[in-house]
Parts: sequence; C-alpha cells; structure tokens
Amino acid sequence: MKTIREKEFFRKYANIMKQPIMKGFLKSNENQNIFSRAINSMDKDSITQLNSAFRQYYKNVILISYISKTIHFSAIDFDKRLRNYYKKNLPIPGVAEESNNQEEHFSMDVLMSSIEDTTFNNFQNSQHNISDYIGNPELISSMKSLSNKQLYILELIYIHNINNKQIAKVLNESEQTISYNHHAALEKLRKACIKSKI
Amino acid sequence: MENEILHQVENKDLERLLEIFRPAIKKSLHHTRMQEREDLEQEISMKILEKLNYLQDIKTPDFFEFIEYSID
Repeated sequence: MKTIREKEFFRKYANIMKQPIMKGFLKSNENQNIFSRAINSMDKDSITQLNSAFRQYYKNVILISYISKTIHFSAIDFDKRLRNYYKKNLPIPGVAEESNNQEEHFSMDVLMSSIEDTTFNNFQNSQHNISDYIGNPELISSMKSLSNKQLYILELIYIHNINNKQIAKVLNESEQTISYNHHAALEKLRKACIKSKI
Repeated sequence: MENEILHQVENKDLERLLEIFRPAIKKSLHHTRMQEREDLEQEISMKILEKLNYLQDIKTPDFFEFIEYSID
C-alpha cells in the first residue's frame, strides 16, 4: 500500500515513473522497500541508499544492452567481412596448385580446353563422403535412415557451402524440394539424436 | 542474483560473463556459415574482453539525477 508521500511523488513525476527503467527498478521487492523508505523518511542515508541502488540497476541494464549489441553487430560485421573476402579472393585454378601432387594438379588450359563444362565433374571427383566428417558413430548409423538424396543435399550444404539455388540446378529439382529435403533430413537426425540420447 | 552482469564486469570475470551470454552468442553465430562459426565465437569473446575496461567506466545517473535529467 502506497503512503500519501509516495502517491504524491508518483503524481508529481508521473511521466518519469512510467518509464520502463523505473518500472523495472521498482519491480524487485528490495528496491521497492528502499524506495518507500527514502521517500517517506527523506533522510540522508536512505536517499543515498536509493541513489546507489538505482545507479547499480541502471548500469546493469546498460551493460546488458551494450554487450548484447556488441554480440549482435560483431556477428553481422564478421559475416560481411568474410563475404567480402571471398568475393574479392576467388579461387583461381592453376595458381595455387603448385603442389607436388600430380593427380590433383590441373591448370587453366585443361579447364578451358573442354567444350563441356567440367566444373561440376571436377568438383564431384574431389568430394568426400559426408560421414567422413562425423565423429559420432551413433550419428553415422542414424544417418543411414536418410535417403541418398537427403545425404547428398546435406553434404552440399554443410561441406561445400552451396546454396539452395545452386543445388536445385545441379539436381534438377525445384528450390522448394531442396529446402524441404534439407529440413526433413535435419528433423530426422534430430529425432534420432533425442532417441539415442546423443 | 541481482545485477549479476554488473558484478561480473566489475570483477572482470570474462568466463562467467560469456557463460551468461552463451545463448545470445550461440544465436548470433547463425549469421555466418557453418565453417566459420568457431572463429566468430572467438571473435565475439575477444570483442567483449576488449570492451571490459570501457564497460567498467560507464557512468550512470543515480535516482534523483535521473529524475532531474528526465525533467529537462
């Protein structure tokens, strides 16, 4: 129950007391008590206590907001930088291929000589199975329940970073089918994980 | 615990701070692709660490100062 002084205070500073920061501050019982004591007695100690409690509460709120924004924007910024980097630095076959491994060596001429587009074939020859990347044996066994197409889609998305549009082109399917299969596969794996408590 | 973030920032307890913000960090990792997420997580931790001193020095108004500011 509010005392007359508190009511008067609330009326006098109606706009300020409606602000979220004030409401939040007074939500906790402890702060509410500090506030009542200070407003009713108006002695120096309780006002100091109220001031410092509010200062701390306010700072805590600012810190939460600051850190959350830092997290959010550094993630966006990081991704932007990365995209920019990959846009500017396209892999050029034949330049970085100065390894001794003759089998993997192919130069620009080889790529240019064929009338047929061999990009995808080359890519296909160099790819690995998705289960090579997974350490958990139970997860691998649960992956056997997926169809070949689903496995292939997972592989393209998570290992080769290919987007839905490109996969659709490669597999001759619609983008929606790819997206559906992708999510269905993830859902199946998720259920299998929960079942076997991975 | 009340004002926990404030306590952790004042104690410079980065580990605990990261633990509190873990869900937010995990969510923000979705901004980038699978292969880069670990790097991003590191980068975010670093950013928070860099800002710790600044965060400690933030000045906030007390109760009656806040009311005065708001009236103006």
